[in-house]
Amino acid sequence: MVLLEAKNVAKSYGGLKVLTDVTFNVNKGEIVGIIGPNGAGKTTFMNLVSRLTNITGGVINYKGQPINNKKPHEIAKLGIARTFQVVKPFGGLSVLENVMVGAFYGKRNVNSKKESMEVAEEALKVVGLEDVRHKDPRILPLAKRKKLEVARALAMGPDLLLLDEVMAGLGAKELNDMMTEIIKLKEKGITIIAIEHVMKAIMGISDRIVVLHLGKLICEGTPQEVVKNPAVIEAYLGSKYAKKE
Amino acid sequence: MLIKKLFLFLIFLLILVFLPFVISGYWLRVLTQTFLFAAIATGSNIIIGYTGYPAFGNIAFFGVGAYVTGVLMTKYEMGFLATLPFSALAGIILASILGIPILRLKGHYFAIATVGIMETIRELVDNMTELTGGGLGLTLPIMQGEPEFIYKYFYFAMLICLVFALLISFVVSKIKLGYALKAIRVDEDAASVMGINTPLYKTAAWAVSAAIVGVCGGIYAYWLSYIDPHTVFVGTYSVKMFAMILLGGGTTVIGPMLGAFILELISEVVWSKFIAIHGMVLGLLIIFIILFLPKGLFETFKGGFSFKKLFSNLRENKL
Repeated sequence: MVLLEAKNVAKSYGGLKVLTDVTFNVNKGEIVGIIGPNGAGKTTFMNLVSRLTNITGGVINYKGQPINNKKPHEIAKLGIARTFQVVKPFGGLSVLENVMVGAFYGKRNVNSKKESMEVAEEALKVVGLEDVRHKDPRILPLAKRKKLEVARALAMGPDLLLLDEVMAGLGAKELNDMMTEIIKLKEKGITIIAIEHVMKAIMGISDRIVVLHLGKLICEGTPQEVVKNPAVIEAYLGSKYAKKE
Repeated sequence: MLIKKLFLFLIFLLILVFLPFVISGYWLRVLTQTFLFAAIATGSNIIIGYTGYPAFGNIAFFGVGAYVTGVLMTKYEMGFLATLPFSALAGIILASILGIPILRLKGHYFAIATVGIMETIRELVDNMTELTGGGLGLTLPIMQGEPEFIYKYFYFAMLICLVFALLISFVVSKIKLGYALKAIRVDEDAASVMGINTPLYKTAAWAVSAAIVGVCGGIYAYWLSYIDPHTVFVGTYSVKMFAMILLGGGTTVIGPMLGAFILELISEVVWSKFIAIHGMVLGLLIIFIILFLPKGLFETFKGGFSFKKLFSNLRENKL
């Protein structure tokens, strides 16, 4: 079953075309990785799905309905949650309270403080942050702040989770832990779109990979198919290496 | 922890309740004015501190509240207390209408827009002579009774207003709305993708804030018994209010009140002893706060007082 459908999606800022004619589907329960060099349009695509920016052309359907004209908070209520590349915890709120915001206002739309606390505790347990629940998130190391981003999104009760470089900057052990956690989320029935530069990670967790280059979709397939694709090799390593392959 | 804080606050409140029976009329007036500013700062803090929107012209609602009370008492012969809900309502309506376009702006753009609103309303009031008395002002009915009774009446009216402002601020900080406001303050985009209807919550915060400031204006109008556009739409009140929030700390419930007490009492002492340099001292104090205490007293000295923290704040200011 198709959960998210991007049809000829385009985004431009004046004369600058950031995304052109991007078309692909995300099926329920799968992990789709989006890769591409810097400036390929990966985060822009996520911004379009979460409606932080307006779409210039094409349509994005979620559960069969177009979401082009929805507001970001309405998107969240539909069950789409996301993390940000630049982690920004809500300072002034503890780790637990940060996650409670997700429970309060996401798809779950919890009204009682007690219930939101329970949901937040559960989400913290999933990402392994229960020990720092009362800490100020600003003092946490990067790896834990990234986990907090994931926990906040999980507390919203998402059907579709957009992960924007949650594994960048992590050490080897932290990276493995995060990969395991993401796979566990998939097993729980959450569909995931992940943007990542860490190839080992994205190839390890994704069912399918979508490759963007200069705003265009240049390849789509399983991780094994994608790594052999000459267009992908050229985009990442240059034409010299593509010819060698 | 919360019970301990509540207990300390109740003791503080009890002292304030008994104080009018032992202090002079002068100090009663000083404290009444201090409560007034503390209530304004506490109310304004809901939009400024909690939500992170620098409503520099929030005093506009103070003026509107004052005029609503003034007009209702003089033109419609309503009782003083009966006018106060209307002062609050006027603030709510005005903030809700203006909030939709104005709260799209951020930072200093929003601050400047609110100042523009204050100036516009002042001009309107100045020119609605039939209703407001225009530049000639509005004389409200004078309260009957002994001066001592009148002093105490307004002392307690302002104190009750302050307690209500603190209570509302406390409740807002603890409920679902408070979490949304704090999220908006840090990152509005992140807040919106987490499901927070940011325009709605910002407007709600501004409306609550405007209601409290409006009631303060209503009480002030009856206390003074005479108002004109230049006594209630006062730019320096905005500066004071802002300095109080900065000094105490905008992320806490009682920070603005603490800031108001410190700043207002210092201001009063300086005014009574060195009237010629009163404005200069206030200005220097504000510069000091911005340089050394940008996060407020509470946040800066959470773990105890130290000069090191003051200077590290200065370094963080990148000066």
